[in-house]
Amino acid sequence: MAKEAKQLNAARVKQFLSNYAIIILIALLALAVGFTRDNFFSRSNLVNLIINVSPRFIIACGVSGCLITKGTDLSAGRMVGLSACLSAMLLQDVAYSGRMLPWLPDVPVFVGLIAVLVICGIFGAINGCVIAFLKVPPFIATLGMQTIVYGLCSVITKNQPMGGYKDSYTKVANGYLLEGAVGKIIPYLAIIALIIGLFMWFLYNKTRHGKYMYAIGGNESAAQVAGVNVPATLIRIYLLAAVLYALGGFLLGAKAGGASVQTGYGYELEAIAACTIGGVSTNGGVGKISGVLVGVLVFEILKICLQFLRVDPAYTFIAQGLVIIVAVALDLRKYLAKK
Amino acid sequence: MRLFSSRKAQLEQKARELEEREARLIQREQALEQQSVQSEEEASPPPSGPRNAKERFYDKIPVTVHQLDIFIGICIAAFVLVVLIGAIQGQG
Repeated sequence: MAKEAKQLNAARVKQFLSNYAIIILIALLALAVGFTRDNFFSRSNLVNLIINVSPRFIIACGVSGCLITKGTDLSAGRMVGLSACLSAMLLQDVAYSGRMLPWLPDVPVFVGLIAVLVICGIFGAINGCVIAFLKVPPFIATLGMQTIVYGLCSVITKNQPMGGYKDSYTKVANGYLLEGAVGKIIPYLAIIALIIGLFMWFLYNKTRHGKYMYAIGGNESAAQVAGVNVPATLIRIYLLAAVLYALGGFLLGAKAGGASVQTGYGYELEAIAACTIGGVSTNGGVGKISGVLVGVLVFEILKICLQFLRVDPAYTFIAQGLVIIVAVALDLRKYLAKK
Repeated sequence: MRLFSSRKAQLEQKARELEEREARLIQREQALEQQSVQSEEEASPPPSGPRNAKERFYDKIPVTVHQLDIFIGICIAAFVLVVLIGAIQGQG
């Protein structure tokens, strides 16, 4: 009896570690850095973390829907770049000498945002249609779209980096709520990310679309037999994902004050790894928005820790790569254990 | 003669009763079998549907859970090593 209890406890510990290994590792690293470096546990560092996390969280929310339905979206990073570049072209200051579209009148920020959301949404819908109707595996379909979007971005920007934004555009990402004597309190980016997070939580948990999404991820055939319109749901998922990438790109462009074809490069891998770390199973049918947030936080805290430790940038890439490998290995472990 | 015929009737009645009991037993067995099949179906999870490309890829990887645990442990150790070396190099 005691032996069985011991075995059960060992199995539970193993399962806990396999579910939360990376989070525990990064938490320990953050504690180690916090106690050995000044200003790690400071308000400015926290605000910096929130500003970095916000657009990445929005992008990861988009990817999560694709992962939950056993798909993926490798075009996320390039769509972020396309959105940043389009926003740059539409929202440069009229007085800026190096304007990409000198004939364009002054465009309101909101109009620019709607335009990039619509354009990227069209690409997302194309992804969804190819996957849903032509039955192309999402990996292949989105890989192709990734290349197409990158090519398009290169063509329209002529591979030139862009800057010279309007103040009203940069303020979207660099402004704060309750900015005043007490300092900068809440970045607008955080508010936007919070609204998106709440919307996605509502969509995943309280709407029919969310239920259909989890049903397709759990068992697509059964969902179809149960009356779920699988193609329509998949198209909506990829369309919404692209809209979120567009918003993420719009905000990243505003935050950085510039954009180029390389903006957003590799973001899809980070977003997928963040979702996997946060418990969004690439086996399908499982995933929460809170998990996505945890995954993105883990990645950003890792980067900040490595910066505080003054780790050589080359080693930073190796460390991030190892975290991604561990995330995939843990995902494989969960699949094998389930089998 | 009367004794013989009454005895015969008794035997026939007993035989009929035995047949009825056998039939009832067979029915009960069948009902029990159906119940056990139903409870097995309820206990086992429903089929999870066709596997996607990633799962088919995972199926081809010839590792056990234990081997994967060792691999994950090595990766974590490598991560710690890389961070330490990177920090020393960065400060040096």
